[in-house]
Amino acid sequence: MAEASGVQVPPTFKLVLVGDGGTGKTTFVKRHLTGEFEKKYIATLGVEVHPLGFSTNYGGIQFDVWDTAGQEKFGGLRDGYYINGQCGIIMFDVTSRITYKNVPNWHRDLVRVCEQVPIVLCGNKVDVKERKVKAKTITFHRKKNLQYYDISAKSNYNFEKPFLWLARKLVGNPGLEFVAGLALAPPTVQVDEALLKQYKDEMEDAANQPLPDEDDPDL
Amino acid sequence: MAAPKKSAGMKKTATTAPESASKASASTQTTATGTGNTRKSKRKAEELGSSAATKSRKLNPAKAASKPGKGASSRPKTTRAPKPNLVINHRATDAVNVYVFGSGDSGVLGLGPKCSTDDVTRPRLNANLSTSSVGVVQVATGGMHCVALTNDNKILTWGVNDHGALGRDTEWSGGWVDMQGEGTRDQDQDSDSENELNPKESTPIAIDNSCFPTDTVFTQVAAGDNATFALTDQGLVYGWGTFKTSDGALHFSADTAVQNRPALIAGLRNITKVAAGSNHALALDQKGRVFAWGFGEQCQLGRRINARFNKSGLVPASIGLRKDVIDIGAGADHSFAIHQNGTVYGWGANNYCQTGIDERDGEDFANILHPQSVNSLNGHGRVTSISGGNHHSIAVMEGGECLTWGRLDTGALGFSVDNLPENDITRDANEKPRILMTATQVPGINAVHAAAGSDHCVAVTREGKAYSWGFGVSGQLGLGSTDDVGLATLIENKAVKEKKLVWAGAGGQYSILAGEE
Repeated sequence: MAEASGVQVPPTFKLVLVGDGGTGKTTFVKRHLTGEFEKKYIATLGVEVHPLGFSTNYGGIQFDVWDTAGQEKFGGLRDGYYINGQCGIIMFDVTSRITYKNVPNWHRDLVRVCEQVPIVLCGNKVDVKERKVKAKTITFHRKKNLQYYDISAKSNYNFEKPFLWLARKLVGNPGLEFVAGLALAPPTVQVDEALLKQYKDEMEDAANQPLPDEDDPDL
Repeated sequence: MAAPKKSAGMKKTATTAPESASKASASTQTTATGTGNTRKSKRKAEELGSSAATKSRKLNPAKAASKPGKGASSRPKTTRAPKPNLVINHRATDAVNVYVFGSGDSGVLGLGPKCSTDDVTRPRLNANLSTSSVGVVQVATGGMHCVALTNDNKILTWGVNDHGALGRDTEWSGGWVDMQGEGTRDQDQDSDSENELNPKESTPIAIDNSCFPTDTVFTQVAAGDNATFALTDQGLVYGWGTFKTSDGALHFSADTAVQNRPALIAGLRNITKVAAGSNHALALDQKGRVFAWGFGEQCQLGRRINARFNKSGLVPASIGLRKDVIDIGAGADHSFAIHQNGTVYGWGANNYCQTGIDERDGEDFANILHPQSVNSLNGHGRVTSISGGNHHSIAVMEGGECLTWGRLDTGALGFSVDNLPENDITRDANEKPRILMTATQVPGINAVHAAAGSDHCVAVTREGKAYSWGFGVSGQLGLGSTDDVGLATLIENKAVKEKKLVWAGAGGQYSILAGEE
């Protein structure tokens, strides 16, 4: 099909996007303008698939991002949503810790079907001043070897970070870089750069803390 | 020991609550609580309660309650003549020890700021809730917060307060603050680098009694994901926090997004029990009618709530059920009622058949809009308690059987899935068992109480032992690891060994046990 049109289809990976309702998953995925333009709706699963293309120093790469279109409100997604998923993003809202409550459950559901796939945990809405989830208390990703990023969908802050990390993992090349600028929807909020720098430092600080040892004082 | 504490507490309540507090809600204004009221006076009280409740709604009890001292004596019209009030509910009197385990990063274990944020994987006695100094008689476990009632009429809250669920101020600079005067004990503030939690969230602290009319006596508490409720001896319900819609919007009532301080829930009278799901609440009244409010997109309110007009669910309304319901229970997005005749009704989210009602809509289980009988509970005797987690449910029968149903690939049902009747299960795309539609007994447990967390369960046996099973990634099973455990397993460590446990609660990623002193 691709050859017929003379366009080379880049390597494409199914990306499963999960997380509680209201965490900004759809807002996030809609930032990528061509992906938003070319999205397809799978009615039987109630899913929108956004093809997000990126240019890298090794050529193009595409993530077909599966967004639930609100199906998560029923508290669980059908297997068809996860099947053949090659990577994942779990999203929560740093301004509402209750959205962090089910992060372990979302992760369990994802790896139940998609074993051994690279997964990024994203804390969205870091543009909001009343941040509730502090860097030091975000530890789940460390237990499960996920990557973590602060993001702000509305300001595009760190938009490409989860995709870059996943691309490197999927291609198996840590030297992969995104080369061309992305066409993103214009930011609707501005972020406080100094504050985000502080978050980043706290996060790195937390990452350097040892994970809890196996001492069991309650045995 | 409990009795003198109680009277001391009551006295304190009476003297500290400002006069204006009774203004907060005309409907709760109390005089001496008579026990010898006639039926007539009871009806009168109901009538008064009704009109007063209407009035207090107009006055916005939420705002009035949160600003005691404002307009204390300016509106005599709303002050009714003293009316008789009936005591219909009684608080438990036995103080219990509280043991906690699970996720430590949200302060929901109530171990205070000095507790590291690591998971606690075995029961740990919560010293902040000691029987001698605090006297907890009842605890309720929300998604990421807890509420406890003490034998001196205090309501203690702890855990996540992002949307007002603790009903008190937890503002914290993030660094060291002087906690003197807050009633906490940590005054040696040596720099412990592990101290990362907000002390006002991670420490159980009482809600200021001035939020309530003088002489208010609390008898029961309940907690959802972001909301908390307290029932009074006269059958009124206070609530605070918020309900969160599936798209993240926050609404406590039609005109209040987040209720940071306790407010009387208008329209509820003569209530004998309150139960809370993730984002909905149920109340049972003296006549055995069930009321529901909150968010109802999965039909958990037992009535149709259009997503575009979902605020209509925020006002308690009666469920279309026969009267004479004797107990209620909630799952995350589903609900149960036990009728006097023994029938159990379920409604709400049913995508994993968590209501126990096998009603398939094509390949999916639809939501159950109107209460229907949970037929697979028939033949096991009477149900004494019932509740649910995200996608599963658990019931305890009078004979001690513990039954579970719903989603089973998470291990949350407590038994092996290998020998289940094929007719009772639904398989997933890979032919693995996914859903159990029939209430099925957890073997080896003679239960008196059981609780469902998001994807796990904890049951307490007649002998006072606790068993757990299900999702364990945050240590919420108390079995010493963060592994999932599919079979009901005895919780045993030095803290609970030799103790007689009487109750268990389970939240999002944590659990609580209560035991006799």
